[in-house]
Amino acid sequence: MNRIKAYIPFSKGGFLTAIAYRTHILGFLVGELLFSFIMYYLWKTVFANTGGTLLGFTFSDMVVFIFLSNATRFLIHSEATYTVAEEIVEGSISMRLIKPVRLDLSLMFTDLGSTILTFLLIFIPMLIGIEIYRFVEFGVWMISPIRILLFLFSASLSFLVNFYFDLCFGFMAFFLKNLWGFSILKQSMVNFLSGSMIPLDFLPKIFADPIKLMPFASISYTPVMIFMGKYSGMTVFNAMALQIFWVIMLYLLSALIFSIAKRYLSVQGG
Amino acid sequence: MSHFLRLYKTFIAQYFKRLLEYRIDFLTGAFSFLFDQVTSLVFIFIIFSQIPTLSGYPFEAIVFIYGFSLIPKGLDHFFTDNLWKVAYFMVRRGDFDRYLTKPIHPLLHVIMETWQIDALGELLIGLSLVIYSSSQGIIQWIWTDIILLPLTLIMASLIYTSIKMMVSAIALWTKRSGSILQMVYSTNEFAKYPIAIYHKIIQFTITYVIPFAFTSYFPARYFMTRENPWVNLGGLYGIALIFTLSGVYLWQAGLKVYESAGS
Repeated sequence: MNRIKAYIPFSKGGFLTAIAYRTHILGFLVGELLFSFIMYYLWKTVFANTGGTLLGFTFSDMVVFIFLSNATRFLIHSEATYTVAEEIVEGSISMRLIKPVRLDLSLMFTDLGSTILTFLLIFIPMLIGIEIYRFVEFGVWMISPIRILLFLFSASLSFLVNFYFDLCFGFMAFFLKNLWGFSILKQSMVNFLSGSMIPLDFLPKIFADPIKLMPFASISYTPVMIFMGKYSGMTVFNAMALQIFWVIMLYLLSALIFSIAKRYLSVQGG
Repeated sequence: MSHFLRLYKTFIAQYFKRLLEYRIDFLTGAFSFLFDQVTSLVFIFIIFSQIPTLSGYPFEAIVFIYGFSLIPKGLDHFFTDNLWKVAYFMVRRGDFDRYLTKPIHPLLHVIMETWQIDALGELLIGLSLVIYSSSQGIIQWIWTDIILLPLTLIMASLIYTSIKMMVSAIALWTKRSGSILQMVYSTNEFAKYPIAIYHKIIQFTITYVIPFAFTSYFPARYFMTRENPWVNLGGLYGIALIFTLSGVYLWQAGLKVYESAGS
């Protein structure tokens, strides 16, 4: 327990940084919301043309999907890639390495600090908005506490998958020094393959099935499908087991990369 | 004029030296922007596997509008990327001071100093889509297009550049305006699709407030239908000129009140 206590100040730091950079977060929020609205109007036009359902999705399903995916992306957002990459290039990573804390946990708790803020200020309002939308659409409250709990549990796993994936990516800076291009590539890859742009079931089955097994689907598709009730019974269990599998795999991978990368670390000046 | 060209050549030569130093990074940058567009295309493809037309436009027309929107965006991205740095951190860190000590106009210096090779990804995709869709018979090219098409693309890029100029100029007062620029700039995403699909408020915003609809939808509609050249092209030219002048004016005004943030 004491071990965890050592990391609490990192969360506090992350929380305060998030508050200090609120305009930055606001800019990010507006950009993401804009993207969701473009998706909303595109699908609205599509559904107006097809009428009824499309591959098992109704239009209101789609609306929930678009905005919940968006909210989930905010919730699991991690700065690990940028922080690690910047510290490696600047050499300030040495300050982290000489402290008696673990690199991954100190970064994770920093992320958690800002996650608390986005949970309260972005996620909760969006969830309320989605529930109100469903109430207006269906005339009854669709709130299901069990689904919300399962969603939050699955989203926590998503956070871990995303975090360790980001960390692995950040460690690439040990070899490449400059990560700007790679981080854009990573972002568009994650956006597409995680199914937050198009429901994975809309892709041809031959692509959808392997993509669902990749860690990307564990990032946002799984919790969103659970919330929407598209997964039920054993499927929920299997999807979460896959998430746990990827948390462990990516954790081991990041540890491996780090142990190799440490040998390449060269800090100039100090 | 030849003085400027010589200066520009020197700046760009320096840029290419940096480019060679970080070769892999530059290549991944361009590849990333390319990949980003490819995912959007897959998305359009999936939509059209479900429906024959999107608010009256067939697949080729949507591809043309989408591709057309990328060219001015890419041109601006290629030539004036440094304005982002002014908005985000140059003023705040005090790096901006050095532009004031040189015998060329700071705005010109900032823009001339560098290129952004990442933009080649967008340009490549944009051009391929325009060529592909027009080869599918969506466009009947006429001889005036030899002049009008390049002119339109340049004017449309000026809308991007002038919006970046105006918002980055705010940093000369407030030290940074990167987040505002990000917000304003990101509305260009709306311009990739026919604006008819959006709510009236959004249509109004991207036509009259942040006029990105003039960088793609309106001119693309002119080339497809040859209707209303005065609105579809004339509107674009007028707005581009007014916005560019406003951008330059705001920079002039900002430079007068600029106070260094550096130590």
